[in-house]
Amino acid sequence: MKKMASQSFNCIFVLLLAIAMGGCGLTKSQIDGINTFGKAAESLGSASKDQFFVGRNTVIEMRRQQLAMEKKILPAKKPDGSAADREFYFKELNLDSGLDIINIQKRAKAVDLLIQYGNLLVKLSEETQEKELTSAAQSFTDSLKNFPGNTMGAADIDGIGQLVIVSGKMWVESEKKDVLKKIIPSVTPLLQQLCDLLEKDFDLSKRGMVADIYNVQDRLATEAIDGLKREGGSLGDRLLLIEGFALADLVKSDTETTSQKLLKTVAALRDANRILAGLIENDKISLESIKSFAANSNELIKAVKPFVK
Amino acid sequence: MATATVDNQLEKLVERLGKLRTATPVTDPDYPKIVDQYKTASDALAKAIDKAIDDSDTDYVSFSKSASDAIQAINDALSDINKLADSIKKVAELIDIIGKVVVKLVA
Repeated sequence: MKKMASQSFNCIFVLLLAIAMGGCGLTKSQIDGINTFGKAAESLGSASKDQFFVGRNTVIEMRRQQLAMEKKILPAKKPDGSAADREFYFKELNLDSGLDIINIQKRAKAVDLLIQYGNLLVKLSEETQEKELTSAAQSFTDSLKNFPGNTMGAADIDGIGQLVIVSGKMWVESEKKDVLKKIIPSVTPLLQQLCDLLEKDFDLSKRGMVADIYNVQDRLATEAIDGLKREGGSLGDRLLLIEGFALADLVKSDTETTSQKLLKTVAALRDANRILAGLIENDKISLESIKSFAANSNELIKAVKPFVK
Repeated sequence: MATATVDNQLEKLVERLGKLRTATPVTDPDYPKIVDQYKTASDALAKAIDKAIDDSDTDYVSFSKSASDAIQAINDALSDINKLADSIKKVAELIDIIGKVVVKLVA
């Protein structure tokens, strides 16, 4: 009878604790929103990073062909009449057309942080610490069982073990929500800033990375057409011209498609980011923008794959 | 504002000169002039884009600095959450030690 009363007490205590802490953690809608946003942020970050590196390599390849077609001749001296050196000639050739590796690395670092942020959101939404808590509770109950003069029965101790797990989970969920309440509003303006920067780089009408690629392909195509309009030249020369034209044409169409998709996804990130900030305070907010961001990110990953060599 | 308008004109100029160069036969007496003008405009645009890309670097670096701090704050917060299971294990160890001490005292 005493044992039953003790077990009932444990059950009621767990129930009361659950009710008392109910609503302290994240709701399913909030977890879903954070998880979806995190995964989409990772995808956009990875796709952007690929584009930065692939874009530079593509520019170098196009510039090599363009300079060959133009029969580029390096000047014997610097414009001020002083002796030329390797650094001067490196700048003269300008193989990466201003897309210096240092420019790319700075951009890669920024999108790496977007990937990391996405990872953390996924981790926070998926990890329950259940395994760790169960193992800790097991050690705790083992210690209680072995405690000298212990008068509690096995069921009582197991009940306490369950209590440790349940309250531990609640504590973790409540802590996670507190952490996210602080993090998301502080990261939201940073992501808006990143969206501005990415839009500048991916918009063909703005002076950024994609505009640079576009300008280089236009120059290559024009040079190739010029050469092909003229008679003569070896078979190798003609082949270089045809290959140059084909490369420029491929890059033109890929750049136009990728730019459009990247811009669409960045715009979706901007909207989803705003929604996420509201979602952490109010779980009734619609997840449509976040879902749309996820859909755009998935589409982007598929679209950019063929471009990545 | 005026700079933006002039800048925008440079893109249009390169586009128009490119089209004109492509449409003009190489035998046309004006063709060499068109080629020179196209190349000059295209080089100027490449330099303008290069400068804009370099200018954006500062903003990317500033973003990375702020975002790194935020990521570190999140990692710190996560490590606090992970400490819960550790603290329960530590209490269990403490109970073991207390138990052993009690056994010794009773003996």
